[in-house]
Amino acid sequence: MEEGHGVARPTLTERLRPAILLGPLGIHYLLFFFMPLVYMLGSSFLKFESGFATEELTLYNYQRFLFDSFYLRVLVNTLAMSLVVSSLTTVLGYPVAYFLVRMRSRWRSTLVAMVYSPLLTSVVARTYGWLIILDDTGIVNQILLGLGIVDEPVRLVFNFTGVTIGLTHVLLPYSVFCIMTALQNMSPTLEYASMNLGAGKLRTFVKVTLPLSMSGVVTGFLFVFSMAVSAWSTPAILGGQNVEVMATLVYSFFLGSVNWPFASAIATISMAVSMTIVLLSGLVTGKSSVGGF
Amino acid sequence: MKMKKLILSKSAITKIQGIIIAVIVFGASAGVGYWYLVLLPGQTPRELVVSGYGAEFEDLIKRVVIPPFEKQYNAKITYDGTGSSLDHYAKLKASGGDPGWDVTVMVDSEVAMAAKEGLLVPITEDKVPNLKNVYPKLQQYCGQWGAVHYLEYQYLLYNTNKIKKAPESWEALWDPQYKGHVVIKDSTDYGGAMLIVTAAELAGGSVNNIDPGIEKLRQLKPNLLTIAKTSAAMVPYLEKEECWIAPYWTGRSLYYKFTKGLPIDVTIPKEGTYSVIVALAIPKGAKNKDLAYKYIDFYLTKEIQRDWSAAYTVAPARLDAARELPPELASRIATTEQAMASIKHVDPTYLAQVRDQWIEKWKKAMA
Repeated sequence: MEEGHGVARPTLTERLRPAILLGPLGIHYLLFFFMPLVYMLGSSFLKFESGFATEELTLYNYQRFLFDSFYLRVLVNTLAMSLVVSSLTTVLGYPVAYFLVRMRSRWRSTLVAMVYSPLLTSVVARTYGWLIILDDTGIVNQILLGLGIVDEPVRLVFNFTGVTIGLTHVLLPYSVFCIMTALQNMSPTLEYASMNLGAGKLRTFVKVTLPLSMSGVVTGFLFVFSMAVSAWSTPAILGGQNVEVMATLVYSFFLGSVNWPFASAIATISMAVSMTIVLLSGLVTGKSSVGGF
Repeated sequence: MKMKKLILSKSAITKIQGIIIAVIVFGASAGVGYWYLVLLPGQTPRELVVSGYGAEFEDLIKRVVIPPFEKQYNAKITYDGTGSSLDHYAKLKASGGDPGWDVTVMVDSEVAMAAKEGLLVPITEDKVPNLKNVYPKLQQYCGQWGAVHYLEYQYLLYNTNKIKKAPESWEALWDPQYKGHVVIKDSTDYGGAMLIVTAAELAGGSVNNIDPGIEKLRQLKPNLLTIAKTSAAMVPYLEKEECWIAPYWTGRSLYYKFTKGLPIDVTIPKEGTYSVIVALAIPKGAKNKDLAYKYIDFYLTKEIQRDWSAAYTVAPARLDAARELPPELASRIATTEQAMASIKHVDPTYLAQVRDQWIEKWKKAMA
């Protein structure tokens, strides 16, 4: 609403404006995101028999997952891994975001570009890079062995450690940018005011800066969390035989046995669980947080 | 910053004009991109659209098979090297049998599935005379729905620097001295499925009773470096010589040995091995079926069978072509009826039925 209009009734164009602005993207989402989701949900109720999906409806696909401790463990592992990754990206990302927002150097834009530069390379290439760095003959183990810190190479890949390192790297920029956005919207004068009134640097940070940037922290956390839950290539490459997450399960049944109904059910469960967590955290941390970006 | 000031101070364009210009600029770039990526390729003249695999496969087929065919039949081939066998099946299924190709490549299990769903046209001897020269034991797995044009075996591959003498049995994978240097393929891959059968047979089971094999594979875990999702994903471990021993397919292993010079060799252990049968198939919606039949027939001639197998280092579907291969390849593949007996195959229809359970059992044992 433009200011001059005051309380006057909005004109037709004004009332249509949201529809006009949201329309094109809305149609795109409806066709290419919502419809496939409906299709996926539908096929998760189909019966799979002798290698083919039949037209018969069943709840068996959900039953097979929810009443099997193996699959439930995969779900819990996935959530735990995503929790670790999103916590790490937040803790590592906050100082970077703070530094980038507050700095007044001419190198600022270069440094910002460096933060998002990982996004310019394919995830697969980056993940293979980690494999070379982290495996038994990789540079990390060479240094550890060379310094005599360890006697035998430490297993840093083909387990959750490797996947966590890889995912944290891949997803860090998202967290940094969410926090940066929140910090940018906060005037530094508030910090000066706090210090002027006698608060120390730490107290100012805890009482003023952090609460005011909380929306960005929460948004970044949830953003990274939902991306980590659905990540496939990093767990597939860095996880090896020891890591099974929801996305690799979906892959196995979708492509391995062409059991699309069961794969759809796993995907639906995965999405439902992560969406519930995201929405609940939104409710708990207040409305403003989720709208933060 | 400077830019913004410039526009504001001159007030040369209004907000509405700005929006219109932006819409035109972005719309035009989207349009040009769409034209270049989608419309332009559709307009280029074509006669036969052949779908196959990418990478080395594409380079070799464009050298060995396509040029002589184009010359002999005065035809033009458009080659689409995207996707795996399973991707080809998925595209066939998604398009209702009309993915835009005239011929595609799939392994027998995907041919069986596509045939069952009515997505393919029959390939018969009156349309493809050379079909009668394909080794019958192989052709039976595709029936009339695919023309077998080569096969690969699961070899036992080993690093010649680390293992001096060719292992005689699949048991070598469990040998404690190779601890941490064994790489196998995932159960979702055909190679992983064949390893389940091989392990089952070693442990007293069979293709119909794989539980002993799953238990046997559980015991393989301490020896594993990793489980790879695809054949390509195994290459870095072979190159870095971290993988000393592994089950691996014919084509790629010999290609890496002969072309890339990796210190590896292959052997068929005394228990025999399982094969993957690769066939050419014609989608129901193919635009140029007549030329597609001619292409398949051409692929099955003795000369092309020999040249293709020599180039891609795989076993041809014709035994007479196998005998004409260069010696370093011929010595590593089955060229006689007798040798063919050690090459086993799992019925694709049966595999499609049990695959789901196999994957679940494998995951529970290996995770």
